[in-house]
Amino acid sequence: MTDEQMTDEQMTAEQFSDLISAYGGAADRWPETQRAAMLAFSQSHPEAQAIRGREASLDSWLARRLDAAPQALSERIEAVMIDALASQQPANSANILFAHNEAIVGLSRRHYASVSAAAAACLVGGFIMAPQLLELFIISPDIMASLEVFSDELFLN
Amino acid sequence: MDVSHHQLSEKQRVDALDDDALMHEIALGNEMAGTAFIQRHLSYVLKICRAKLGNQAEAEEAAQDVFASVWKNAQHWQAGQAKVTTWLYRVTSNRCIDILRRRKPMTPIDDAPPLIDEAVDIERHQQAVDQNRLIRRALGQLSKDQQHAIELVYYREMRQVDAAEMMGITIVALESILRRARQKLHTELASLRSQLEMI
Repeated sequence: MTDEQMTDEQMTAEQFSDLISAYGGAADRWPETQRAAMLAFSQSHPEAQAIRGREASLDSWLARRLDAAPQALSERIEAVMIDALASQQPANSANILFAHNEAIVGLSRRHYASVSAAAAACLVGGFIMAPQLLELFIISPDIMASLEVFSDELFLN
Repeated sequence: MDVSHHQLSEKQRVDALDDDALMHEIALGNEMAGTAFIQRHLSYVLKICRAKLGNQAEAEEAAQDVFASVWKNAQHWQAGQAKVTTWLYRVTSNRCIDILRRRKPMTPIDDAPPLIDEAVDIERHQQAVDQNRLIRRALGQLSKDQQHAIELVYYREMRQVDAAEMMGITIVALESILRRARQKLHTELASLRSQLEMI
């Protein structure tokens, strides 16, 4: 029946209700083959007009959805937004966290000098102690002898 | 999976924020808030620009400039001093006037729109944005198939046979999907009615 032209006499209330609850209250969205029959049925049956009114109310709300902006435009604006936010310093409550992070990551010159001196001391100490430390492990006596000569020369010179 | 779940929760949190809270989040550098702001306001800003400028290219240029202004000014935004939509409308309107003056350098001041129309436009902007959010929220509650069917038959006004073919289903199946979708929308919008009627 769905593919044939329907007449008002052939359409039942259930069929009308099924169609209008699927397609809404606007006749231009109704299936072409059933449009005339649906129009005639709704005009001759008050309960059908009430159903049509309810569906038309939903249609009017759906129509208030704004058209989505072009995707390319949204993406361009979003790209600019990401750059802009990345280059801006966070405001208000985030500033405290931001400053705290800066303090951890950014060391002062005085701190750099202290760390550097400590590292140098460790390096020299390591060279001097290397033979003794290596004795803890299995190592060739020839290599051991070479290391001792090297450390003696470094220390004495 | 935890990251995407967190992102979804953050998106839901941000989508539910009002405009003032969204501006505050943008000022803190929250990109998701920026995206939400774009999704919420771009359609209507573009609509205003098209109406004032009459062509798509300049309307898009104006819209880009308007949002650039948002990112620049978010840090200075004071909640409660003005409505975001009012400010946004004025920025949009001014940018359109700049572009119109670029076309016609000697645009007389008398050609400026009267203030009373502007107030009505601002109110319409707020209504349109709020209604759009609620409608999209209701549509978002549908299944993917239901959203697709509504999009094709309702918004694109496609013939049933074409919509069914695009979805790879029969017309009977399409009608069944549409029926369930619209019933769900009736329910969703009924629950939002108090908000809708206040808008």
